[in-house]
Amino acid sequence: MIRCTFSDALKIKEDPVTRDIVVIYEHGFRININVQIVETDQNQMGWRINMLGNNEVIKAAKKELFANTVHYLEKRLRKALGRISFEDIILLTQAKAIKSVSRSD
Amino acid sequence: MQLRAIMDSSSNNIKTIMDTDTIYDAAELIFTAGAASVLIINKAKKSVGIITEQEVVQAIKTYKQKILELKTTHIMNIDLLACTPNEEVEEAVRVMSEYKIRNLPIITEGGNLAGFIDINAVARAQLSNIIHKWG
Repeated sequence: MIRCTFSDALKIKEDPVTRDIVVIYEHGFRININVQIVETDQNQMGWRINMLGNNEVIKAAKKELFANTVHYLEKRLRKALGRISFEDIILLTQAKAIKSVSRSD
Repeated sequence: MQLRAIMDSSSNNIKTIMDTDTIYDAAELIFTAGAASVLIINKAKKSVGIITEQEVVQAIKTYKQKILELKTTHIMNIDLLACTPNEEVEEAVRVMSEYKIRNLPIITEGGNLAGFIDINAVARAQLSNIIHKWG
């Protein structure tokens, strides 16, 4: 059995300094902001969204970027935000991307 | 027996519908074409998700006449559980029963969605295995 996805926008990497696992969300916004999902013990969900880049741009786009990231995770996992764990997000990064489809029409 | 062997005898023609179409349109396509699943594509002809017969039935129950307005993207699946053509029928049986899937997507190693295997094809293959073994 394999998990597959039509929307492969999450990449997993290790922080070179802290060696923590970081999930990069490749959003479709045409702005140079890096959206990262990291594990935390500071909230009940166990993860948080970090945005890296120009402070002014982050300030302007933060609300939309946050909503877009949450919507993406909820849609893929078919779970409400409060029920999504960091393990769920890691699982999504392991899905195989569907590259093509054999269509009859 | 590998899943590849029953793919030909199973329904693996994939029907498509636009992401701007409604759930009602998807229901009509599923019921008129006898398709088990419908692939959702966008304006750029890129596949963005899938709706199965079960989800359409569930949407009719949940949203009632709103299915005339709600878009296919509202209920589509972005992620799928699938098997490869090289996997055994027993694995398909396990996945289908554990996750309650009636139409199992088949994905090649290269990431091509090759089709679906329905529960009837899997049952027929299992029965044929039993007859071959004991008959």
